[in-house]
Amino acid sequence: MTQSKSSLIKKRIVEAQWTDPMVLFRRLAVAPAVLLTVIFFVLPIMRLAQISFFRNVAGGLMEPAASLENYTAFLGDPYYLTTLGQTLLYGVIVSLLCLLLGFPLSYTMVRIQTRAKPLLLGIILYPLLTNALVLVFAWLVIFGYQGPINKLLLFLVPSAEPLRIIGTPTAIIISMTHAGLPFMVLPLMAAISNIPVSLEDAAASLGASRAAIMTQIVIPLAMPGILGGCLIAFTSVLSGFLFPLYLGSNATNILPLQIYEKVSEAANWPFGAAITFIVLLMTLILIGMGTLGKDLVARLARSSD
Amino acid sequence: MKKVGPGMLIVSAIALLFLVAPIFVAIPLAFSNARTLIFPPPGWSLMWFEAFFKRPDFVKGLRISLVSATASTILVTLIAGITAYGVVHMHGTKKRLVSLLLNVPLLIPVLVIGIAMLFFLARLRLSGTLPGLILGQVMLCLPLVFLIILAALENYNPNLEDAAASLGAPPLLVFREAVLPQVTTGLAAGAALAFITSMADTTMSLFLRGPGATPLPAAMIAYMRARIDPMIGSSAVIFLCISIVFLIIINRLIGFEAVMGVREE
Repeated sequence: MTQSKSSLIKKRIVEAQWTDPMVLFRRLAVAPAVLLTVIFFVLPIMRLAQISFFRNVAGGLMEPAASLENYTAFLGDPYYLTTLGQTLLYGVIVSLLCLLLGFPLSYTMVRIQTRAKPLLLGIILYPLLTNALVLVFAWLVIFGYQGPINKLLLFLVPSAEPLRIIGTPTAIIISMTHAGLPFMVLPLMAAISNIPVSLEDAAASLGASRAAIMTQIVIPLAMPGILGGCLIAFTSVLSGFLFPLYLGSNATNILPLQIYEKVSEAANWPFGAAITFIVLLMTLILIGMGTLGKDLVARLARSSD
Repeated sequence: MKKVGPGMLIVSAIALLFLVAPIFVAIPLAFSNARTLIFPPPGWSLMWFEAFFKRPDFVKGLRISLVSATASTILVTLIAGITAYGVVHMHGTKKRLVSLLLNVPLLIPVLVIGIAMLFFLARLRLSGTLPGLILGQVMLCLPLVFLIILAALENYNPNLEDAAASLGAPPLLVFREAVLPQVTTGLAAGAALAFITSMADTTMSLFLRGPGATPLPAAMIAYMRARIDPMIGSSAVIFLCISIVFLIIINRLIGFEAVMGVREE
């Protein structure tokens, strides 16, 4: 009772102090980031949508219009549709590979006790926090004719022809899985760290095998993290234009590279805007599916109780 | 019973080796004495670092990258810090809405944000200028830094301010004695993350570059059009060193677990 009374009094005092500089500062303090996000995130996205309906004029100029021609050109061209399909395919493959590597890694990192943990977490985080060109360069060396993979191959089989890895889907998938893995591990570790160890200990003491504990306790409880991780790993593929630019070929074209080429090289902003907007729509659909998936998991969990 | 099974441990070890492999390849190559990307290098030399610092576009690019990262770090830490302070004092639906708005950009591909930013800043005649690049990196860092500072403020006690104020302390004294000591670590961690994120940025650097503002990643990409040699490796080492130093700082300040939202046992 005293609690609510004191908070009521506090509220009255705060209300009476509208002119108090401290109270005023507290109320206005939210404004900077909110205003900045509205002006330099929401408005740019609206500008992007607007330009996607503009017309391209030769010489890198554009003409204000309300035409659907960029979208019809995209949807009417088998080349772009193939690229769209390929983007989805790479997104799915990369997400699954990230999950296969990321789930055991996240589980181990949460449950293991070692003094090397900060170092290991640093190894997990650094690809997110280092320049993507560093990674591109490293993969160019690793996959190159004179790189470690081919050196090892020639050492083992001296008569072998060096492998051509750069320009193949393998190079794209490996480099993108590497870049996406930290994105998968972040939500997974957060989710797994919320599962009490005591649940697993209890199941083990009742004779459950490791596999049973994983499939019946850890994986269902970590499902929101799994869905979140897959979503962000997929999204990272939608941003990755540098990997296909340097490690790919015509056969590994994906939409992010198309965006880069249309905006940066061909100076066709309206068409680039349309492709970017299509990528944004894909992201929103994925987020929607992820949210639905989470609801479904929650409902299934409740009905199985 | 051991908590983690052998299968899990083996896959984890493979994943960690996979994650760390590029470092062990990129660093030695920067010290190579060969002209091609031969690995392991036939011999060692500092010639590629020398070549790096002899190229005006790379040196200027590095300076612009450092300047824009410093400027965006200061701006974003101030903005995110002030806003996080405001959010800590909010409750209920309003708080949830503000957090949601500030977190949405994290779900959108960086490339989409970069292209939208280019189109918008071009309209304001800011694309291709240093202020435009700084603004782009501010927007890139803002959601992340806000999240980190807010997480660090989880145990923030607003009653200390009220207590100090009710005892007659003037606002500046309240700020210095009751607010600042509680937020310093969070702000420092946020600033370190902002700097690292700006230095790691390629998207804004590439799309918002201009004649007066060509950051190092843009200079590197222009160079890589003609050839790819170990000099790119020497830039890679510079970038890696910056990332590693600031990762260590973040770990010392708040620990990686706090950054990753992982609950400690």
